Amino acid sequence: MSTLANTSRFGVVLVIAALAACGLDPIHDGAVAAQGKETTGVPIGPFHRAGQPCVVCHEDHGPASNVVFSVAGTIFAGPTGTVGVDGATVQMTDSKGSKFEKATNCVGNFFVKPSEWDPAFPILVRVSKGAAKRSMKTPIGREPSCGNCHVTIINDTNQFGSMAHIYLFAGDDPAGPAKDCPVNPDLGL
Amino acid sequence: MKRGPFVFSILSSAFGAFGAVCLVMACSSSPSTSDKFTVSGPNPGDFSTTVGGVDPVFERHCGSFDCHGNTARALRIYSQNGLRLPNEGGVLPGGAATTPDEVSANYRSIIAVEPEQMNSVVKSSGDPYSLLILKKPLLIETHKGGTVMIKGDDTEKCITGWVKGTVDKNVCTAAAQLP
Repeated sequence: MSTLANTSRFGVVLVIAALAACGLDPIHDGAVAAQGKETTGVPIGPFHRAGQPCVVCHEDHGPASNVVFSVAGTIFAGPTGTVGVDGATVQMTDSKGSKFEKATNCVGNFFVKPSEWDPAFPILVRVSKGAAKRSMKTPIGREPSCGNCHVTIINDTNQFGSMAHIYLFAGDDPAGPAKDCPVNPDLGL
Repeated sequence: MKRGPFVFSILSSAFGAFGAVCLVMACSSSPSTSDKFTVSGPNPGDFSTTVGGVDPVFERHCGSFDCHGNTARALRIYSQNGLRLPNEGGVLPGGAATTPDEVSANYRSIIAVEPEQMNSVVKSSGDPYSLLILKKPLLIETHKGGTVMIKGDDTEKCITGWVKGTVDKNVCTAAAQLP
């Protein structure tokens, strides 16, 4: 009896250890699920899920762990509407003074891989295109996804704890939305 | 294979543990009103948003949404460009300047991290570095947000000076600026 009980206990421990090793994290799983399904007609790739918190999935334990980002987000044109800005420059400076720049693609997405730049948080960020420039008024403490704090929809639930989407211009991009983008750069939100 | 005895063993152990917890809770006494004590925090007058005040230093270094500008944190920092104290006046992130209510909430939040220790340090001119509000950002103790200040920089001097009652407004002004 004692041997049987010990064996069973050992089995339970093994199962728990295996689940832990698999990265069982209901909070993270919930965050991934909250992003919803892919938008119809937008293939998985650099143009998908504009405005969403990229690194929820693109991290070591996320479903897109094959392409990990150290910083990623989306830049939109104006405070109203959600049209991505093509060719905006995102300038970042980390706490050790290391600087890195990345341009947005035609839906406004940008992403930095750790092999390109692995910043020592906190970081400061500035976005520009032509003469238009906007700087974040606070440092980013450790969040690699712009979309975790800058959300496309402000409602009663998040209004005191979230900032609206990142925008560069007072209105539309003077250059207009990208013309040859494989997907619609306007999220229509 | 017979599994009954093992399952019974687990259930009886769990039931026993539950019973023990209930017993402890039943025997616990509620706190007496005489257990209350007043915390002597650093000068609240120096914890303001005026030039040279200490509040903007905490806002600037601790209060971003992804750190302590977040309701998930025990230490919450409200600020103009971060978390806002719930209100009915339409004061939202990025909007109006940090309100007096938010400054007051920030002060209470900082004091409440370790009220007894804060009380001891302030009343007895104790070691400021024994406080979590300095140990964490200096990484003397593990801090998920990493190193936020180093000994001797403006931020550290501002907060240490505030705890000691010797605020240098010029230092705090510099510490509140983005580089």
